[in-house]
Amino acid sequence: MAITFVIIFTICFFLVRLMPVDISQGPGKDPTTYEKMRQAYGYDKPLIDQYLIFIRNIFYPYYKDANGVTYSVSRFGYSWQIDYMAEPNKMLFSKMAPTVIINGISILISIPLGILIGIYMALKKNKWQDYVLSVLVIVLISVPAFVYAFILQYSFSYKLNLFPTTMPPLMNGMSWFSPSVQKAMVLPVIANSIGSTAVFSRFMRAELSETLTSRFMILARSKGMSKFEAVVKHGLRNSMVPIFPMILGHVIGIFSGSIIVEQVFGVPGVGKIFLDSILQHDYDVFLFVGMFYILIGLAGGLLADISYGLADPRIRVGGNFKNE
Amino acid sequence: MNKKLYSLNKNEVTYVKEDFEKISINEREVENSIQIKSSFFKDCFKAFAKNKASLIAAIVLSIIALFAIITPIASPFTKIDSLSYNIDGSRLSNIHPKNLMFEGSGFWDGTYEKKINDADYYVYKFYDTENKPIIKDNGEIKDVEMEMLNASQKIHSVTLDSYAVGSSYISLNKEDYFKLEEYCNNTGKNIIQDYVDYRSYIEEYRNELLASEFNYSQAMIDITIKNMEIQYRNANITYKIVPLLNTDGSIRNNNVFLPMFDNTDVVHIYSSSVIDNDRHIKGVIENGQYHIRVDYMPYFEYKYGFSPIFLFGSNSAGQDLLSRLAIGTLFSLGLGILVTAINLLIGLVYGAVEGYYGGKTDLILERVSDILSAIPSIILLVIFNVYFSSIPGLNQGIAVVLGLFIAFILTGWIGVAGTTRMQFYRYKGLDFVAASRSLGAKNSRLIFKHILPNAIGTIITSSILMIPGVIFSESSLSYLGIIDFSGSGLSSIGQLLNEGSGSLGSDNAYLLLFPTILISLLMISFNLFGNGLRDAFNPLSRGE
Repeated sequence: MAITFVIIFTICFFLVRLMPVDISQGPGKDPTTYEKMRQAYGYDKPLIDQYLIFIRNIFYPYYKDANGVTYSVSRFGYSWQIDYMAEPNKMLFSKMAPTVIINGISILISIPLGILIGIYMALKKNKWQDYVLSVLVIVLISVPAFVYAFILQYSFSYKLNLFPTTMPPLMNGMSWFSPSVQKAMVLPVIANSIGSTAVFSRFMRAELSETLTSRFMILARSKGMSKFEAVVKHGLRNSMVPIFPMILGHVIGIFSGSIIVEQVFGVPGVGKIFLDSILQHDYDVFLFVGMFYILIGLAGGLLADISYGLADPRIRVGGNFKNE
Repeated sequence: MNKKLYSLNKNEVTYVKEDFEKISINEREVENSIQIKSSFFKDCFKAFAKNKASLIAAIVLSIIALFAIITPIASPFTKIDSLSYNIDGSRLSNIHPKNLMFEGSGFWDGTYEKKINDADYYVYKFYDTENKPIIKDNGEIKDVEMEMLNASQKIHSVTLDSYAVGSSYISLNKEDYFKLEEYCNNTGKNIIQDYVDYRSYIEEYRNELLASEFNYSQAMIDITIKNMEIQYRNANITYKIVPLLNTDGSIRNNNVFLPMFDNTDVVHIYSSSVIDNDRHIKGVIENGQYHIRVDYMPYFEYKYGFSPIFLFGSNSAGQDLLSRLAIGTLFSLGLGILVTAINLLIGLVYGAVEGYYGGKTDLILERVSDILSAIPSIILLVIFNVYFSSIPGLNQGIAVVLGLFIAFILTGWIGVAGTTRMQFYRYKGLDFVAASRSLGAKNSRLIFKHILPNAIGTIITSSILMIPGVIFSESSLSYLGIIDFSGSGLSSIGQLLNEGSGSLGSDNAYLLLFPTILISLLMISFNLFGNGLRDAFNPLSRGE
């Protein structure tokens, strides 16, 4: 994973630094000062030098000029557009709270709900309840997240006036858990939950209905277990093997915000800052947040791989296997 | 039998007559009846047809595709030259959806309810065109929020007909003017309306202010007169207006203008017609240009040859949402299909090499695709989008589409490669491949003649689901504004969503409604269709 990450980072770094810089953007910025600042931080050097400087700064964030004076520099470059000379890592972590809260509440709702619906569908397999729910699940998976967001915003904010349309800025003395902020988070949480609930119920149905047709289920019933007991003790435990890694992947994913939902509801989170860095061509922030997203993705994958072995001791990734 | 000669070379098998025996016709019939009549594909289509949801999805999908192809051909709006339409378009902005079937029902007939203040209310009320915008006056209402913004004005609730766009000032040269006049005389339509002589009224009002008892400053008078002139650019104000006054008669707000009433009637200030070459002309002639006032809807019909009906409404530039949506759908569908086809080709070759050769080749190629698959396509898309857009001389539309293609293709084929690899592992060890190999078939023959034809059904059907994926990504990204088609004349569903996203809370929510419905329908039916197809072709993965 570390090697993959370094390779991806190197590719992205060179691609990002190759992009043209538009200096004229933004009010109150003097192009000549801007250019001088960029030169001072080595943005005009050859790409390979820039890369080495960046790597050095990550581990040793100091810079010695010709007179031998040592300055402290940022580890991950600077924001040039959104928040002039701010450090991308600080910018990102200051936006973390709303994203983590919204995603955290969403998975607390969507995972249990999705699994319960999936179990119900598997138990009612090939009955009308299953058919109706299956179509509903496919519909919910297919429809893009912004469609839910629009529907929720239109009906609950504009027509019924129950919730604010967008998130209010954080005033003095307010925290992310103040009632008014929490109220504004209700719609984003629902919009975030619908999709993952549908995904979980679909997978749960597929896994459980496969497990329920296994022979050990017949054995369990013939030993005298009730249907409920057999499903809970044998069916569920076996079908959780592929579901458990999925849950872990979702848990890791709470750090990376949904760009669309945050944009529609004006949540000042991780997804919003990623979008801002893209739209305003703030390349260092873009690189940092992009790398953060990639890291989260890779960590999720790795954790899922490891957890397969945890969920089911029969699966262990040993060294003694061949590709064929 | 002993005369039969076998040699190692398969071409040299010789038979003698005794090797063959005649069979009766009956036996042949028996053989025929044993043969399986239905093929693999027929079975698959039978299985697909049994799945009702997928079948409906396929029908919906083909309707959408037909809509996308036929609408641009049939719609009169797509034939209009967009350059000359720009000015006319601004007058047809934000016209609400209208379906002739629902005429007068209050639903989908171009009407909408609105709360307006006094100033707007009187402008709407005294339109002198044939179609009046206020079709139902619900009277004065209390609205705290609006009253705060409109001091000392009353709030009216009205039902407006968005198709009553009123009149408009236009300038024509002599030839065009005579043509228009002839058309009016022939058809009996009253397009050219009386010109409004507001300049002399403004002069009159200025003098009135100067002589006023309230001793207004010169700056105050200038700004009031200037605001008044701006008001009169609206060609529907054909009467004397005065600023909002206090009860003692002094000006309260010189930016809000109300009609001046004479008893209960407004005082129109139509100018008498000019006489030019023995003709009465309602208008002003300057430098050979005829400045006239026209009833806009009939004038549009005269100019473009059809009266506009916006089935899905029009946007702020007066463009027909229906035809833009069709063009956008065509673009999105085309992009999805093309990207999928290219990804399929690349993935097929890559996966075939991985799966067929296996071992170290497989291991190395898998690592390469692992690394690529970890890069989110949004990052690639941003990078290539900016990169191509910055190349001077490259058309912006081409730059955006090129960036989209590269970003979607760079990582898109990995899924196909994975499926192909699995299929190759599944088939390459089977007996018929071994048999062919033992007969001396080359690798290329084994891949293309033996393994691929068996695997291709599964691979293609599973990659059909890539099309909605591409459409979904494209529309999400252009909704967010990361992909921007606005300067290039192209359009996609996502672009329309982006344009409509600000209208959710306003009267023009239809701008968002129709693209949203279309993309939802497209995604749902594509996914149902793809799932059905995959299940039919690949019985092992059913239910997942």
